[in-house]
Amino acid sequence: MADFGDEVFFATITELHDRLVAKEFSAVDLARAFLDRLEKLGPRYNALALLLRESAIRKARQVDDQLKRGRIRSALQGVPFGAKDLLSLAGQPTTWGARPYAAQVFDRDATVLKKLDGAGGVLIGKLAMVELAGGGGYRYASASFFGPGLNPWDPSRWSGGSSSGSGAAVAAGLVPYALGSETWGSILTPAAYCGVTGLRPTYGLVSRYGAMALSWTMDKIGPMCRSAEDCGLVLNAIAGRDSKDPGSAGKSFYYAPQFARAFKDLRVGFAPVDFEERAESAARPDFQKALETLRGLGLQMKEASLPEFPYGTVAGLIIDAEGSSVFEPLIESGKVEELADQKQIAGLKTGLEIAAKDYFRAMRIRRLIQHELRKMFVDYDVLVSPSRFGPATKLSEPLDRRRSDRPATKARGLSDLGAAGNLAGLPALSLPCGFADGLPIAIQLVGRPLSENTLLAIGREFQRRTDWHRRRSPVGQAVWPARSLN
Amino acid sequence: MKVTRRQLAGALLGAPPLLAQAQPEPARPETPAELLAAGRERVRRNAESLAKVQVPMNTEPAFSFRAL
Repeated sequence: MADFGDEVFFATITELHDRLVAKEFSAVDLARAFLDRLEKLGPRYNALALLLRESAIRKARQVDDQLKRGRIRSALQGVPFGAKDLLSLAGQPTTWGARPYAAQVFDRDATVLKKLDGAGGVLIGKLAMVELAGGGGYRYASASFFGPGLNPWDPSRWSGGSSSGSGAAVAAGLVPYALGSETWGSILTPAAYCGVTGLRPTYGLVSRYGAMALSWTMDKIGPMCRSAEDCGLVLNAIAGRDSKDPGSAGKSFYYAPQFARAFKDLRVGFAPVDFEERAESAARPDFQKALETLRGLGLQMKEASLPEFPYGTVAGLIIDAEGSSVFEPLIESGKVEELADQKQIAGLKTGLEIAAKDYFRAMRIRRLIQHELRKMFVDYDVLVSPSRFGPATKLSEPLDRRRSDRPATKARGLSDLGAAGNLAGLPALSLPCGFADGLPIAIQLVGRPLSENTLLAIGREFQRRTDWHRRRSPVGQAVWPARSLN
Repeated sequence: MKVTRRQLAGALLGAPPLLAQAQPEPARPETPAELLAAGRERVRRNAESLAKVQVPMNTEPAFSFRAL
């Protein structure tokens, strides 16, 4: 059996698949190496919910048989991956990151897991997450059945939420890619904090059948990977119509960045205030360089500002109302008290008290937001802003505390792009773009609905000219002989 | 030491805002009862905030229902 080093654990999907096809190692060897690493290091970052050794080896054997016969299904064939523990896998525990659901087992596979299985993907583990994907609003990183998500770049920092295990596992080289989910920030935040590339697809492009619901009108599932290219390959496999998901857009997606419009024709909106004032001081130099890199691609960079709306209030109210409705049985049974975060418990309870008129008002304002953003995208093709304004928060820091070196500014800029983009169901791509205080930072590209190929084309080119996505967290610096783990 | 009114005004204008300096971060609710009360207050404030947005009467909520 081959020894596996960093060049394998931090390789992209395409690189791994090419080496499988070249028979440098077998799918079973590769799965074993990643399983051993995930088992050993996953708990170190509170990233592992469930190891799936037997089923993974079984699947890898099938792939090896296919490859022997020359049957190449997709670039994902034989490549291990992890999935956020809100996706159901028949016969296995699906905890939703929450103690009250620790013994929950479903008899069905989530559509996305079925699709990846069909593409030859090897699921090696379920990954930890913030309890109930953060529904109700949490104060501490410890709001998880699995403990706080620790950041592979610095374990005294948070890996981000709510896809905390997915972000940490990719960053630590425990899986080549992972599935996460986003209602408001849950893919982009851990992707940015952990220095990996994350894609939030257009609402409805990826089926949520078999996924925990937090907010029916805002939940999305997407990939967290080593590169924009990898995100495209995974989205290619998981996107598409699903009659089992009432929110399905009925659209398909084919990864074809080569057919995106010429960069010189693309107008990219940005707000200097986001990069020069709102960003934390340590992050500003690399954010500025990221803007320069985008300019260097030949994109038309134009100043932009979001229309005036209370985006955060609208998004928060919708998620609170829908989430509390989803979890009403948990709240009414009293089992909600078993959650780890007191603020979250209170938030879920008070969410049940939101008046219908306020929920409807929020949803009507959301329609206005959608309309205004559609008008904005007449003048812009893509909007760019920091994914987060600074690096990962300290574990000890309450998440609802204002960061000290972030000045209050009245200029709107694109600071609410996260809330606005999620409310309007827009796709977003988070790209690592540098470091602040030794921790990764990232920019987000947001586009029109179903413009994933445009975002991925820009992301791919950005990553050809930078190497931030290739940087390895400290854990990855040691060579890892697969045999020595037993 | 003699201080003129002009010097005093200049010193006061140039100084950092004392009130802002002295104000600690507002105490965060900690106990379950406090958190519940804070949550209810947030629900009330959010409703007030949204009530200020002008919504044309013909604006439909941003979800759709399909008969088929």
